[in-house]
Amino acid sequence: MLSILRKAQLKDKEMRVLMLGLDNAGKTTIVKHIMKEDVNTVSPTLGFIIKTIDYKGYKLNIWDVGGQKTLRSYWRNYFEKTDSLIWVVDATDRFRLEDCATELHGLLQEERLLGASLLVFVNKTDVAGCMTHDEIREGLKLDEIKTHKWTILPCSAMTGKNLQEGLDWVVEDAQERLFLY
Amino acid sequence: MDFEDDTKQSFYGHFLEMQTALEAQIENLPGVDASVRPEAIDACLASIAQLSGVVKDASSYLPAYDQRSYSETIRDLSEKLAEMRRSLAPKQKFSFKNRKKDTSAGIGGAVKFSSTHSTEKPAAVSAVPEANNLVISQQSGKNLCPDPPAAASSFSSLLLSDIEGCVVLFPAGRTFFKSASVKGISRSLLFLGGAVNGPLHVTGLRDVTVVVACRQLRMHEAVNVDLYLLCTSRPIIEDCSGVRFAPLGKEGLGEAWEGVQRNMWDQVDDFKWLKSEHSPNWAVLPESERVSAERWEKVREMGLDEGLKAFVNKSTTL
Repeated sequence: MLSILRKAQLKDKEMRVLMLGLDNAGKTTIVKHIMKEDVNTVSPTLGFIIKTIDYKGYKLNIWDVGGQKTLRSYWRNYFEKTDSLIWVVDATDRFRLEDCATELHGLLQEERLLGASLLVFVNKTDVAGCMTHDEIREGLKLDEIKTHKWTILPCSAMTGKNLQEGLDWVVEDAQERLFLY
Repeated sequence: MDFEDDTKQSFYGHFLEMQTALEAQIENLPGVDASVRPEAIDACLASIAQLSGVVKDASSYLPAYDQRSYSETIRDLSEKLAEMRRSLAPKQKFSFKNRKKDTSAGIGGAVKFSSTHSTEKPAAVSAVPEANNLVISQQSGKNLCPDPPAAASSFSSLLLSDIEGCVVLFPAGRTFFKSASVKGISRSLLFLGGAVNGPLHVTGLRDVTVVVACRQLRMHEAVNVDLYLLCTSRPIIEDCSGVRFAPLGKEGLGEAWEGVQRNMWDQVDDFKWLKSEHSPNWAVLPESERVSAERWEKVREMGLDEGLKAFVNKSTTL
């Protein structure tokens, strides 16, 4: 409640968006595409990258944190004040869907993320033979999530499919929950 | 105000024009010759991306409601295209040539090795195209030469797992996959060449030589592995030891790799090494120990010569 009041007082409509997911999910590539930067020369993320996007009158600070195992224990350092959590899934990675579910549900237990809504970006859906929407929804046990408002959206960081729609959801959700004007 | 309305109106006209053209394009796909269909599909994808770019650019003056309905139209187009692709996807048939050769005919270690194992194993090879993916798993002591059909551009992910004592060799000069996951491989040679035009995710390798070009490389839990690598971004390793890197030239890898400007094969980041000194977990493979391009060429031509023995028999227990 206090945080809502604090938010309402903010003049510049600023949001903190935390983007997480297993390594190779395509988090950085998604951000690059949104920023209209080159998506073909992205190296695996060593630490984290922060990008600020002005979107529909909002200032989105996107924290793109690397997904390698070594880095996952540092994820907690970024939880504070997160308004929206974007969880990126690689729709082609059949080997690790279970790992992906475990990591996600682990995150949702975190007290400091309780106030954040969850957008599940199912990336690489431009690749034929990727897992279906239902496979992922079930594999990630999304319907068991009761603690957070969530949605799932297939997207592609290469073609740009649904990236904008995803940000729309993030912003609209924030409008409903966080900003009183 | 009038001016603004005009702009919106003309945007609507423009959008409608593009939408109609694109719909026709998608509906025409079944009539397109199968050999050029992937290109036609790519063109449709590009048009959709372009259309969504146009809407994005116009977002400053389009009302939110209009923007949303344009976005929905674009999404419908994407779905329509996806639907069409599914209905057009050919039933892929896949087979491995199980190379049975006389071991005394001087063919070389790899084959010899293969035959000693395959006599005890069932000959059935579980390489199944799962939807549009190629899945090879639970193989031991075989030479696997997947021979994707000519129209293989519809193959999308390569999934290799649980392979021991095998040579996996893809045909030269062609790209089949947009991504690859490799897991649990030992005492094997993976000659993927230019087959994977996308990210490569590797976990759990022991005593393996890999020859591959890729856009990104993430390697985990690899021990005693030699990589001949062409990578267009910085490779990373995590929980690895005894990994050695050598450059792979773009010659013969196929069209997808011709334009590559920079091979970053030796700019490796080790997640388990934060000090500024060089990580002890990886090294550049000394030139004197590298397999020459000519020899790889021979391997590529399926000349499984004595040289292969050196890779497959890396651990001397064989």
